[in-house]
Amino acid sequence: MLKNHRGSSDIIDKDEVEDHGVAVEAGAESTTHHRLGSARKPMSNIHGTNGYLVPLPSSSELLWVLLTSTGRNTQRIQLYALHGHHYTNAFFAIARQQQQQQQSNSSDGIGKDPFILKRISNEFLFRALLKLCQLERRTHQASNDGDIIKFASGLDVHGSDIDGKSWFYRMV
Amino acid sequence: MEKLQKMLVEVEVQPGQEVADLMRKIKSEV
Repeated sequence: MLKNHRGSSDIIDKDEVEDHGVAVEAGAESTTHHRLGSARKPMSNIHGTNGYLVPLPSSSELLWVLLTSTGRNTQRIQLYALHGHHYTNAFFAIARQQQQQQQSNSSDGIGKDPFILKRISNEFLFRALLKLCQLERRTHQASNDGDIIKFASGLDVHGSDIDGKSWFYRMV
Repeated sequence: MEKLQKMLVEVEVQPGQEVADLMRKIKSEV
């Protein structure tokens, strides 16, 4: 199982990737995963937050951000962090397994070959929102830490996927 | 996008390999 490496994770900053934070109340909308029967199906600690993948035309890949979390399996933690806590993120890109062959064989560009993971980034954190840090710490200094529950709800690419800009929408 | 592209490292996933293992490997290389 994946463990978070909070102490050694990179913290991503506005200077690196444009980030438009949107704060919403945590737990405002929650779902339960009750299943028939007594045994709960084991779940991965790696999951995405949105079904939309951003196309990268230059490399014929699809880009998105995964998140990892810990602490979902204890009953006490589930009271306030149903889907785990101490989230960290990583970019990843997937592509068709036999892309070149498929492009030559298929005229509509839609193939049947499975997607495989092509590229993945190091783990990173979103920097905590400044206003929340000020309220909590009564300070005007920017935080050098991340929130324990935060994820990317959207990712846009403006312009070229090589030298254009990427925009994050994040939820707290 | 330039910095984001630089963050992405090419990987070759073996059958049954955990994504977490790949992330750890990248962490050690970066």
